[in-house]
Amino acid sequence: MKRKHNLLKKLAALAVVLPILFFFVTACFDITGVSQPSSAEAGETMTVTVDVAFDSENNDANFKILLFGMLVPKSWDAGNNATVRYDSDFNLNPDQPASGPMVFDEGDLSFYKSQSRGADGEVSGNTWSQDMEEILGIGENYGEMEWVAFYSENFIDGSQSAFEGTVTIEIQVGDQHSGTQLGYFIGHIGDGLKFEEGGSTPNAASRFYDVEFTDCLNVTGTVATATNLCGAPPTFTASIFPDNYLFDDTISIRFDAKEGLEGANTDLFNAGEVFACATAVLSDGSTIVKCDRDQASRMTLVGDNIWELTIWPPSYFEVPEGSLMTELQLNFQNTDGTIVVQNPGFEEDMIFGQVCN
Amino acid sequence: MKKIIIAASLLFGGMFLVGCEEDLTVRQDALNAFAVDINGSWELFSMSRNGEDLSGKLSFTDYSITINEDGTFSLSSSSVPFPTLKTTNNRFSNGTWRFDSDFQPTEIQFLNGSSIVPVKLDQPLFGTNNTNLSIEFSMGCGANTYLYQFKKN
Repeated sequence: MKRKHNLLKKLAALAVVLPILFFFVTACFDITGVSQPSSAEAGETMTVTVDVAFDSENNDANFKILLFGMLVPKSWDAGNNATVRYDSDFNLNPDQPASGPMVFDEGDLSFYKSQSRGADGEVSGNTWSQDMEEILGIGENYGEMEWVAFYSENFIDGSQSAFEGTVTIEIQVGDQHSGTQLGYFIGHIGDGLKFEEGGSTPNAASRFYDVEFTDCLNVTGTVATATNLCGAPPTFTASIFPDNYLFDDTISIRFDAKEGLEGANTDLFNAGEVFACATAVLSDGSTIVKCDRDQASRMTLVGDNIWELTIWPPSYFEVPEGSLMTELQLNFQNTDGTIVVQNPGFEEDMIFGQVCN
Repeated sequence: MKKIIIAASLLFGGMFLVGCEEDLTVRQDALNAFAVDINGSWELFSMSRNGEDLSGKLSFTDYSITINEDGTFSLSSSSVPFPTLKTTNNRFSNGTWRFDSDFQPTEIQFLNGSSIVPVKLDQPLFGTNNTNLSIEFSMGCGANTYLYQFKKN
């Protein structure tokens, strides 16, 4: 009787441990294609499909929990505005099919599915979102992005198999950014973001997951204050006060000649005079340039190499009746225009949209 | 002794009664309601944005607003920011005006066609002989407040 009881206990323990062991079984995921529109309208629900090839590499890869990640602007609030599911014709075990819905990862670290595994394959103590950002980066975007993770609701049995499937994402496009680069991750929670020991970078050959960044998505119908996350990042070289403004406001343009590339001074450091060269972009796409280095564009020294010019844009640019100004482009010049400071590191003007929160 | 105390109390109380009667004296015109009069030409002498003085940063020399008895108004220039000149609306630098209340106004409304642009009065106005006019408004983003102070020409 006692021997029978011990046997039952061992079986019960195995039933708990085996699925966990299988999480660690090696398996490979490859993204073989991403079908994503090149542009989308703010507010619309965009459908993206990610084609995935799975290979168990001759292992008993049952009890897999599929892990999917998507890099999106934070303002899209993907946790509340996206649904994800996976589909495949593969059906080795009818109780664990390779099709089903995926669940948004809330980041509750007390739940095993939410416990991220980092580059060494061990539980890192972070959320999937945090580790994805740390290891995978945020593509060409300058900021304002987040990785959101989804895991399969059910186990998938992919033992000794190789098959293909599709992850389908339906997501509502936000209106705060006119451009952004999206990214897609596929793996499973047993290996997470693991790549082979000894590799210093997660190159495709050594990793247990796959990631793909698509071309920058163009978003139309955004708000007037929308920013292009694929464009040049904001800079401290120039700023506009107050922090919240529309172009009907009286605004103060500030230029700090000490804030050049990577902390170096700009070429206008210790200049005797500085002029703002400003371009207004109107809603119809036309531009008005004020770059005469005249009295109206002469900046006032207000601090240590800090120059300021206060303007009321409708009057300064003589915005025509019926037109709206949507963007301000700036560079700064010395008296004769032989020195021009643009966005450090980028050979283009500094760009400002309206900000009103 | 009792009589002395009563007499002293009556005398003391009487002093208060006399004092009250004197304090109740009120100027006759304080009881009359005047329609507030701001007709005339008003010159801008101070401009601030969110409490920051913009004098010297933005030129508004000789800028004035003329408010006429016939209910019309005009700005001396359309190059100085004013809420009737917002690019998001039909812009106008002249038109008609009215108070929200003729006797205790809290805002001035500037009108042109179907456009109505209200601005808040920052200081209460007298019925007559006003020499200062302070208005508060937003131009673009609602987070920003502008205060313009005019003096009577």
